[in-house]
Amino acid sequence: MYTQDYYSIEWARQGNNVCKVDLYAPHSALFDGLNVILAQYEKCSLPPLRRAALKRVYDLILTEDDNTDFQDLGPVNKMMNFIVRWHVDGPESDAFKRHRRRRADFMWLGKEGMMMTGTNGSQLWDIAFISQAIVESGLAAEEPNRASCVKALEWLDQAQIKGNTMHFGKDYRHQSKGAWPFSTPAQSYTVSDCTAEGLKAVLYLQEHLECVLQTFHTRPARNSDEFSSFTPKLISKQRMCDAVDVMLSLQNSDGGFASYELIRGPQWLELLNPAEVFGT
Amino acid sequence: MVYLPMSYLYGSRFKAKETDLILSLREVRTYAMIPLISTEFVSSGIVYPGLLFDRVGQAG
Repeated sequence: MYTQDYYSIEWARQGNNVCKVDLYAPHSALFDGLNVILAQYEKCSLPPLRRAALKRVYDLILTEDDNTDFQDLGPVNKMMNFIVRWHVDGPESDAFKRHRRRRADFMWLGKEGMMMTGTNGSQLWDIAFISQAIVESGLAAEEPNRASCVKALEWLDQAQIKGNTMHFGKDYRHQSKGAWPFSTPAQSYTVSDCTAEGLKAVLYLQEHLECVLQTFHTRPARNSDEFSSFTPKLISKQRMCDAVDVMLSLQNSDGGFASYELIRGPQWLELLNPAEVFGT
Repeated sequence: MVYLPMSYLYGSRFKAKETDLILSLREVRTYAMIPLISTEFVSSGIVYPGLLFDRVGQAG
């Protein structure tokens, strides 16, 4: 959407043209200076260096596509990775077709028209809290709700990420074995609070429900394992320990817990932060 | 993650063919002039209409 004649825009001068209310982290003078130098370099880039850099970048794009089953971290890099794969691999390639199929995961129709979500949903987040609420309220202990509780537990069983990413070790990704993601396991990104809520929901449905049944039921159990077998034991103790391990692995040296990955770079890297629109 | 494909597309000087659709997007317009939901879209009842990106992709 352009408010002035497109052909009159001086693109090189737009680097710091950001609406004031969106300017959370202004560029540093160092970053602006480097931009000027790099813009000059772009006019005479060294072909072998450029080829090697593009190859390296393409490999990392391919890694991200593989790791996330073509969903990528979010729709922003997903759509641009899609263009790259179309450009490099071509419209007949398997990569292009898989990207095209995954695009629908982010789209939904609201009353204002076609909308786009930040991930392919919030399935784990929703089911974890629903599960905790039905157990805490006592509703889970009622026989008509048993089938739903078992289904929620079965879903949580399938949603836990069972291993690390396909390119683990070369993809700069945090361990994901044992984690619960925000949406579905194919998306593959570890999230510490989602892992916590997922594990809590499993503990509630699989272990704690027995105590709830003893409290809420007006009659004693018909046989010794009636309450303990109300829901099946689908998630092994080892897998719960894996979830705890991944949560502990996300503690930074300052004591805080990271959401996706640990702090990896020094503070001064903020001087080279190109994004103005995110507050830190 | 976002800068990877941005770097690739800029570094390789990727360019899409200038189609009528792309050229029309460059026209000066104010926010108020844009029909955010076209009446055609609402009355058609289509659940998954052709996306802008589809049309750009097909043209390229």
